Amino acid sequence: ACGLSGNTDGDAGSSENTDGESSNKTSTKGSIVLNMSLPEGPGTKNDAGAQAFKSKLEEITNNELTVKIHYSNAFGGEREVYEMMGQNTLELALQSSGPMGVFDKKMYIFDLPYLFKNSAHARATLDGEVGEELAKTFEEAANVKILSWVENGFVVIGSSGKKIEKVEDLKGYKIRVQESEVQIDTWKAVNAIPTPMAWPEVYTSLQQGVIDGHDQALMVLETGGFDDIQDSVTILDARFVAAPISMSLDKFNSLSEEHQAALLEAAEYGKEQGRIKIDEMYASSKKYLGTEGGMEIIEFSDEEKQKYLDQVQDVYAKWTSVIGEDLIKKVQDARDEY
Amino acid sequence: MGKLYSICSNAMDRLNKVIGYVLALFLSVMVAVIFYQVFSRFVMGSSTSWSEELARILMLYIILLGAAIAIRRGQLLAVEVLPDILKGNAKRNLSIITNVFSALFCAILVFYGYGLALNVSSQTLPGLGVSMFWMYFALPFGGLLILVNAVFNIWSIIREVKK
Amino acid sequence: MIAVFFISLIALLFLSVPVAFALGLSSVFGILLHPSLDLSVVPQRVLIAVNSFPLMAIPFFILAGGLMQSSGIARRLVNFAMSLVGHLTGGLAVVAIITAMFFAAISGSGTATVITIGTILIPIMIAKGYPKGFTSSTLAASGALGIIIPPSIPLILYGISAQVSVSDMFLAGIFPGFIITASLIILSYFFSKKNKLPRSERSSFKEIVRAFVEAIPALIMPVIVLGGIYSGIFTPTEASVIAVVYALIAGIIYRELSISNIIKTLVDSSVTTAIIMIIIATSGLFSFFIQINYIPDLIADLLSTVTGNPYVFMIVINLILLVVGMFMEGSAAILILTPLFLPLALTAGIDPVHFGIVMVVNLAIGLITPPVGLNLFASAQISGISIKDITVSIIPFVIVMFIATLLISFMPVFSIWFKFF
Ligand code: NA
Ligand code: NA
Repeated sequence: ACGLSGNTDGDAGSSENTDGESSNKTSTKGSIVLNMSLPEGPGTKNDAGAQAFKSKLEEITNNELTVKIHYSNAFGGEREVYEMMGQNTLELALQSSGPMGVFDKKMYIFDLPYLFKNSAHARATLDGEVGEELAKTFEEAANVKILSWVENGFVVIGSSGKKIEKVEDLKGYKIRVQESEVQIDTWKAVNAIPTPMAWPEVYTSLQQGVIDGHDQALMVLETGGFDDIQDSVTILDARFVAAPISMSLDKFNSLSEEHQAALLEAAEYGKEQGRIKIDEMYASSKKYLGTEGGMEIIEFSDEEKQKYLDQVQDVYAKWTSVIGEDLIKKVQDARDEY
Repeated sequence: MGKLYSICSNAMDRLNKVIGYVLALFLSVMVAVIFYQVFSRFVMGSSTSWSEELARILMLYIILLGAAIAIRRGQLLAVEVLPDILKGNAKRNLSIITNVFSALFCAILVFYGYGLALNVSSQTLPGLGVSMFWMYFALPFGGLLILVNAVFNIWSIIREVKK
Repeated sequence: MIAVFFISLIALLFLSVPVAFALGLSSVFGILLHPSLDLSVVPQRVLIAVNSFPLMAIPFFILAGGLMQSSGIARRLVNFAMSLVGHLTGGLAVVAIITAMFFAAISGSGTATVITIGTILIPIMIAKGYPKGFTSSTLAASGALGIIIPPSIPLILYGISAQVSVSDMFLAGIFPGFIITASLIILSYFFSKKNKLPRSERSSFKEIVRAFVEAIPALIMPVIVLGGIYSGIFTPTEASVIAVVYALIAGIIYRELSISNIIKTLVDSSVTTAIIMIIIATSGLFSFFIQINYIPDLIADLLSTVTGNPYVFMIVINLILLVVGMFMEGSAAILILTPLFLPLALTAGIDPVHFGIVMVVNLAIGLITPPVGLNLFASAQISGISIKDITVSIIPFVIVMFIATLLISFMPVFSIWFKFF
């Protein structure tokens, strides 16, 4: 069996060569292959971060640890992938924080609207004490270690037909949501109709008018071809989606201290590169959608943002005790620094 | 021995009959729930967050419980080339072997499935608000029913061989 | 490890272990030999594979088909087709094919189509002197229309995997469905003529009209289901539940559905659902295992040499799918192969919707090729003929369908006609 598995490692190496990477025929005998799940395909928003992580890790461990990236949710949806890592049947992932609340409700903190003032605030929060506490919470609940916090960024509303310029426009608006109680409560609070829907059904449903819109990372509207079927984008800056590089805790603990350190270092590098790419793609996608994509770009005014926030106060009231008052306050108190 | 067999045989028939009614109930609830989902969106302009999840879980149970009846009826799809060629006791022995392999896989499903269900029990199903345990429990529960039916198949065939 | 995996899979299939458990157990053996995996992955993958909303269309379309049968709607479709073409040479075979075509516009599954049409027509055809082999082969082959003509479970699955619109996939399936129908009719015509098979009496105009009126509820159903999808009233998955409710109402209006009838249909549909979906469940484990061992990459590497020429690529893909279809159930094959082949097809300049049709039509042939051919098994079971015998009589059908498939492959206009406007 050992001989055979050695073979597959060699095959993985050769397929990587076709990607134009440095030839590593001298694939180390004890090389450990770590499988990494990405929700979308090559070249999409988090690919750069994953690639940076991979190449850094292979470089500093001299290929003792290698990463094999599996695209397009080849192993299942994001919740299932976290679960697999918890069971140590999959090693790595770079994917959104969306399903984390299922493991511990504290993780729903990301879904609270207008919690973060801007990207800088969100990033500093995640790099600091709060990020550490959340990582610890998730590690205990899911048996999955957060190596570093990358992101999908602030989501926007991609809209077909109906235009969202003001909070009132959301009345009766059928919006697709992920399975998050906080997201559902939030949309109800602004009188929209939150419609939980599996991701594979979203495109067709938008096309057919089963739903009016979806909230999604801006880049996905471009890479997913949504500009073909949608007419406007509303930038609310309400909800920030983190997307950590995460790892099976059991797998992490089974590695040598040296390898563990290498993983953390590579994840830090992946995070930096990932964030740079996210900023670049956000800008270029926004430009593309507004020009070639033929979509109208609408930005919520400060007044509208405040109106939205006023309307969702009940959501805060309901969820503060669940998520933790201290934690939320810690984030809010830092707002003014950014 | 013969008496014990007929008692068990009766019990199995009754069990499978109950499973059948449960299947009918689950499938009709699935239809009702998803129909209600479409209806509520169009007629009442609101959306439910629990309906899809409930229907999905019912489907999982239908698959596993339905497979238990299917294996007893010998309806599970197989490449029936060898059974077509073989005759008499050779054919019966083959049938014992296939049931043993089926039971083996189901045993893995029961054992590891129950472990998994316990493991995920701290997760909450976001729509229904109940523990994720109940979704995963379909595997060990249904797996056990398939296993029991496969074992009973083996017993029935062994009796035939002896005759 | 990979060798153990493939050898055990083939051995278990040969021993006639149920396909679902053969897929599962061979993966178990592979996992036991894998350096880092353990068996807790087994239940996890099995559950993940079937824990999906779009898959719900499968039980619903099966149930709708079952209700169609027990409510007498399917029988009325047969009567209507019989009044139209029953008097032609090989009339009953043509009736079977035409009914299957109509029924395919209601049913999403090939096997459900065979079971529904076959249960009615196979006994009649055999009683009228049609050879058992030809009869069951005709039904098995025309049942394949069930997954080509929309609605169709494999078309839904492809749309999901390839991230193309399911509605586009449905539109693209219509003409290829007609082409396959025509090729089957031509084959059965010549076979019947050569073997001097009996024909029925020609129906009077009045009889045709009566049969038509009786079949109206069945003929309206595709309009509601497909019309509802295209006008944005519901998603394809939701359309399947509408089909169930419609069939239920129609059955009650016909006064043919009793409570006990409905319960029996519910139980049988659940079991049929289980028979199909337990394979999808364990094929989830199977595809996880091949993914984690980079087998898709190996195949993609091998194939990348032929992507330069779209014609060569198309032929190679057709042959591969034909072989895959022999061994693998269509839904499982689509889930496993789409992520693998689609990027190559795009590189070769092939439209993703057209490519999906090519895959589904090929896998429809897979429904009638041994050793794993659901339609073949279902049809053989109804007519009480052995797999060995039906395997011989199915050969001409496979050849004719493959020729039609090549035509569809090289003429994208039949599938993506709507993109030419
Ligand atoms: Na169909
Ligand atoms: Na086949």
